[in-house]
Amino acid sequence: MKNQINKLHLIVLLLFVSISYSQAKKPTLMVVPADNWCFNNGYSESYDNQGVVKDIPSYRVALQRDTDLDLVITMINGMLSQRDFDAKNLKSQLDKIESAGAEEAMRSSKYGGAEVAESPIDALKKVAKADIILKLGWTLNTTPMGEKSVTFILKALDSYTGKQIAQASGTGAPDGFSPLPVLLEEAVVSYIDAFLAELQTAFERWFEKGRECAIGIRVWDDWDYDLESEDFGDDELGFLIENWLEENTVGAAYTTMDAEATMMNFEQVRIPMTYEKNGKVRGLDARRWAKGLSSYLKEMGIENKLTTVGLGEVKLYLGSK
Amino acid sequence: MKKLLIFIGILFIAIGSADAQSKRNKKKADTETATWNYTIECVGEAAAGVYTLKVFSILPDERLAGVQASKNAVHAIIFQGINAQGRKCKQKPALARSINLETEREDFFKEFFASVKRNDPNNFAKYVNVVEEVTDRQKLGKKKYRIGTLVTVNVALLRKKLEEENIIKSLSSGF
Repeated sequence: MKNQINKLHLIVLLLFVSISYSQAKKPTLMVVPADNWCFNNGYSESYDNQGVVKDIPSYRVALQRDTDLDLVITMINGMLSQRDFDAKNLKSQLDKIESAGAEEAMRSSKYGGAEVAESPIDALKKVAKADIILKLGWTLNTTPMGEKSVTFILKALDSYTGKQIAQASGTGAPDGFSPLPVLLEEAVVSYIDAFLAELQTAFERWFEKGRECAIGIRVWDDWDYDLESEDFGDDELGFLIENWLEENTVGAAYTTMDAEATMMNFEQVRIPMTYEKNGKVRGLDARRWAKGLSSYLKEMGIENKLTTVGLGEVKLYLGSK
Repeated sequence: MKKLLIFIGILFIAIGSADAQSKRNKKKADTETATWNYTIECVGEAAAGVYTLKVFSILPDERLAGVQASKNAVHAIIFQGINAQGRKCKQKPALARSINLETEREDFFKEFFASVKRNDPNNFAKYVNVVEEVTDRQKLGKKKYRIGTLVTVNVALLRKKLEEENIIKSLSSGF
């Protein structure tokens, strides 16, 4: 009888592990042309970042003018789909930004204060909510004998951190007869397996060590306290926040980049892939995870505002909403 | 009547002999499989997920070339990966995510690489097409040949099969 109960416990445990493991949020992917590919081909636009004008890639123009780009993106999307990952379509996301007016670059606090600048690229990231951006580019090489080859590069960037998590690059065999689309097709076919294997390694690392994100703490000017205040517990507020991070990160992994009276920055903060709510295991993202810190501060009587920059960076403004 | 009996007798002996020969060949093939004595050269990738490979197998009998090259090609794709070959072929990583997979799932692979008929869905041969059984032949010694065989392997299907059997993890595993 005892043996049967033990077996039952084991089955329930395995079932729970299996359910919890399958509930992590599947990362969304989106393929975009690489910045230097856009600039080299003249697909760029000017963007005024609070008085500083800079050139940024124009994906819409690139898609409108370059049919090969559409071909390569469609191919990669198709291959991802075969591996059970549906990539977001770049053109649809750009349309979404236009219709929703999401390209608006400025946001501000309800009661004044900090303003967060956001470029059209950031706006795209926010609308598409792609966890991983695949950036691709190529150059066509021609030998004096007239043979052509393609140098191809494909990079996967984690939207949370901007870090490169997979890459494939190289130059294909010279070919005197095949047109560019065929050379590009060959390049994608040649590199995709190694690329996806690297991507899988990154996913496995996420499950093992947690997903990396960044968190910033800011203090409103009109707040009576700061991060060195000892009115909220047995230590300075900054240290209390660090204690919370230690308890709520995978392996207590985070790096304190800045710690001053009015601001703190944490990077390489490893958050779990899942969390439990009402007995159900759900996928966790940076915003949802930081909501825990926001609630913890509210419990101490600290009003705060939680904002996100992109997907993997969150900022908490202490003092008011 | 006597002639008929003689004929039936000869027929039985012939069938028995063929069967014994087939069993001997199978045994030989399985012995060779256990040693995994081969080298692989990537020739190209005609379509996404289909590799064209030249397999050089070390064999005691040329007649084993086709089946042994097929096994060797699948073995390399699962456990070793395929090396880059100049500009015509890029590095292909192994499907196995663990270096101990072969021993960890010994029972599965023993059955998978067993020399049974091609139409067996659990068999390696389903994923391989022998294009040219003997492309190169080199005698290395007494009853020892290095035989080159050109094959194509449907890696996409092979990966799917191993994922379905929970032998390897899929890209979306855990999500």
